[in-house]
Amino acid sequence: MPTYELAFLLKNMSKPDIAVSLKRAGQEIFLRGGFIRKLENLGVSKDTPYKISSHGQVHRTASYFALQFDAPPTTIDDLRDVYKRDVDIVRYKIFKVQEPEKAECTLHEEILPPAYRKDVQELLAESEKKKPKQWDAKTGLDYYPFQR
Amino acid sequence: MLRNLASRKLVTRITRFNSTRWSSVAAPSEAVITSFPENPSSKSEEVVLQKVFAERENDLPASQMKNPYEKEKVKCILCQMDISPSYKNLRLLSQFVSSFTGRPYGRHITGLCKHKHEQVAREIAKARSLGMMPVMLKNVKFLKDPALYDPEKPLRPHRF
Repeated sequence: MPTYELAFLLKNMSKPDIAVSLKRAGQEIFLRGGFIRKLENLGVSKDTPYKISSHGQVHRTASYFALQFDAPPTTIDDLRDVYKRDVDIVRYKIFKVQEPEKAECTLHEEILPPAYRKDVQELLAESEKKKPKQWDAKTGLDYYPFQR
Repeated sequence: MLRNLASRKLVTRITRFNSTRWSSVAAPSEAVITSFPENPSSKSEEVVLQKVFAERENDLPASQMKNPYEKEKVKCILCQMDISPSYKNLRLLSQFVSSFTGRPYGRHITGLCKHKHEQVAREIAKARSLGMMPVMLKNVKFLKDPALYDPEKPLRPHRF
């Protein structure tokens, strides 16, 4: 089963209420045949960077959590539906946990002047390819013979 | 007539030479060479030659050697530290964001490679949509963080 991460915000409530909401969120995963890897606390009762309105309420403080779990991919849509209806969850997002792509640093190529840069050279090559063929009148002359 | 004279003179000269200076050892009666005697120094010569060849192999230009004059490739700060930005690490993301507008700076200002810059941009978008990172401003707590670049001195000039 692939690993997902549920990053969500719980509205400002007392600690026991937060615990109940977290438990509820975890239960939904278990009900659908998944298991939890870890639950990260990213801050309890923190000021939100901007006002967030959800379920008819405006929130200025929230508790941030990240729940990492494994679940069958067919159940993710179901989970999204469940968390959308949960009044305590202000905002949520489910990401797939992927190792960051490893690539070599290309800064030494990007610093070069434009004529030496690979992407600029590729662009030039592309533009030359896309040149439409000029209609050849086959007059054998290298100038336009008419007076227009 | 002339020829005879010359040959007679030659013969007398050689015989005189032979008798006085060169012949310290009397020539053997049967002067027929059957085999050449082995040069006593030839074996040691071979050994020396083998050694020379062995050493010569080390002296040949090493084609597999890396260019010793190759300059170190410039790396962006995130690649140097081998850091992957995350939407949870708001402080790191805020370092690449303007303190005036809250918007991420371009590559020509931050000095990040294309790959890392795109990662940073994606994580900033994630953090903003999750309600973790502010959109129109930079978090006040992070305003005095150390600067990784000077926005007034970009790598290439910009209109501003």
